[in-house]
Amino acid sequence: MIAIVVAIAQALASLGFGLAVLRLARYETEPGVLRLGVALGLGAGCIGWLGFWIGVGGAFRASTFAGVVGVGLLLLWLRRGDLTLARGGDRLDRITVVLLTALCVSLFIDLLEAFAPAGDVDTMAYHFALPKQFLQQHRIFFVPLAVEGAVPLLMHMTYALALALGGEQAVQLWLLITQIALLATVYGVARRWLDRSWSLALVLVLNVTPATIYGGGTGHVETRTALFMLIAVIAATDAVERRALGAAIVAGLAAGFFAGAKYYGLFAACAVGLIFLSGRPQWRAVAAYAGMAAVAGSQWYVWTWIHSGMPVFPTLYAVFGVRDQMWNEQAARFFKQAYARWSPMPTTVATFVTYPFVATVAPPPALEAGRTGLGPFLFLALPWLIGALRRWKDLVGPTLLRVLLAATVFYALWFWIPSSQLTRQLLPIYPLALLVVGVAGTRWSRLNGYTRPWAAVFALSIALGMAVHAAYAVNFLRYHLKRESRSEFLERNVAFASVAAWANANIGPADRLGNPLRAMNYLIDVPYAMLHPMYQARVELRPDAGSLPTFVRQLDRERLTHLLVHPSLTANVGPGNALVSLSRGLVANGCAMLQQRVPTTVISSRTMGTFVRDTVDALRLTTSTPECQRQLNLVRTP
Amino acid sequence: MSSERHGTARVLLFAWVALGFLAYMWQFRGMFAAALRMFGR
Repeated sequence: MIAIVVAIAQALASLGFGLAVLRLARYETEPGVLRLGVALGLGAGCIGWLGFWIGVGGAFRASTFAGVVGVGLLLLWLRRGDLTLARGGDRLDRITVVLLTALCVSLFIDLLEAFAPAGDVDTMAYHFALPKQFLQQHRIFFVPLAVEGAVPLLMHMTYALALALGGEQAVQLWLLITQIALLATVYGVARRWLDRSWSLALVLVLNVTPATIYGGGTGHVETRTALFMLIAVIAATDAVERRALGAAIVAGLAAGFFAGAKYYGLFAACAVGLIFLSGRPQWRAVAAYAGMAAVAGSQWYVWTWIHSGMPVFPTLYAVFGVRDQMWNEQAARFFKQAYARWSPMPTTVATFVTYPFVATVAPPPALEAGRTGLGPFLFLALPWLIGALRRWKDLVGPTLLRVLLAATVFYALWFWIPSSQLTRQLLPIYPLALLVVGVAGTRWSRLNGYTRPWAAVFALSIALGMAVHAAYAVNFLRYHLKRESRSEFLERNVAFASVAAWANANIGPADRLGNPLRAMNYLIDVPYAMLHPMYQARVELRPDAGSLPTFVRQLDRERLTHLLVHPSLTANVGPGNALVSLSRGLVANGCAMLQQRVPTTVISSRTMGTFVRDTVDALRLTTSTPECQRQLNLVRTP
Repeated sequence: MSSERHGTARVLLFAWVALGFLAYMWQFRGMFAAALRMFGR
């Protein structure tokens, strides 16, 4: 119950902050759902931005967050006059009723997920694990881990607020609320050009897109950054077309919040910035946009720079070098080589053009575009887009062309600047593409009498999406209908959950666990260090790391008392598995002893319910014993 | 455009939607086969 109250209070407080920002900037959006969505998104960004300073100030605890919510609620009370929902009372036609019913079913499935424990791998690895760790220490601290530690965490600050005040359940509900805010904003923007039923159909397509189904109810930030992107783009087009400085300020804030929540937000800030140069440049608006984006989005880059020596860790290692021993030349080389696994397509002009098609109909497995991609809608709608672009002045118009420009520039930067080619990373620009294609296609259909095949595009995309969403719901239905306990659900959904339970029961608060199993980070209550072979270099576990004395020194430097080993010490692994090889060396030389062989499960698909049984070895480290020191000829440095 | 050409274009658009949808679904054939096998057991 408290979780529901907290999530609603957080949503209302976000609305309060957002409405206050809109008022201060004097940016007028249409009343109704668009203003609600925009205000909630901006408010969530404000709370995330404040969360950083609260964390730096060492006040990262429930009482401070309660104060933030209190201020937000007060602002909402002061701006309550801006909240109006009613806009015409015309009757709903049959299609609208059908679409609304389908949307309610889809949101009900999302609600089933929200009322179940978190189970997604990345969510357990860092989206929820980092806020939990920060709350345990009442401050934010730098986590020297590539991809899932030293990254912009603005959105995670909002997760921390919900976690501190209402526990995990509140975060789950907060995720759903932010997803609904995205849907509301898409609907509100679509209503500028489309009638109610086509706008609802677009919203439904978005909510049953595989990437949204996969990421919306989990800690993945793309659904949230999609909201920031949409707000930024719409405000930027308003700024250019209405010559409204306030809109430029809001666009800067939203683009900055995106940059503060994900490195890809840097691409977003550039893409939105180009909108300002698409008309006659208004330099005051450009300056306002850039200034607000820098204020809203720079905090995590400065933070990372201060702690690691580079603003984007570890991508800029070659330029800036690094402080401390958190990264090195070999780690950089291995990271680049291993991370390339998620970029299977060469970056050429031909693949730049063909990527959307390949990702839709024949994606290489590394794109993960089948089960977590963008669905078939844009592919099926292609003839309508081509038809409409032939008469772009009438059918698309300058505003949507600017929207298309921002989406295309983001896509180009994302594609050409090497990172990963995971298709779901494009979710932040997917609503933009949906709006452009949805509006252009509907207009072209009306003009030529192609509405029926156009409706078939929507019907097939929605029907398939609903079927996928229903299949996704089975896992959560089972939890609710069978009245599973939390531990039963975790055992089915989270790899190595039993190992986390063992660690919590057997490792004390004065100990420190070396944990190479990222999927269970969030479940660990005792102190631990994440030992990913690719993402960190403080304890080197790359395939070429073969020096046992170095390994022991690094374990000591991290003050580790225990170490988890997977696969087990007796498993048949090749020499490239440094963790197993070095751990065998530890045991053989008296530097560690096997404390427990923990049976566990490794989950391959939560939705399909597929898993394999396995074991994890828990070692107690005895690196300070004379035997270990003698065997390895270690000379201790004080 | 004449109504005849509009009619042809409509048919072509329907055909594109149907074939495009099948082309999209083709990548999941393995998953469907596995699901059917599970159902059959």
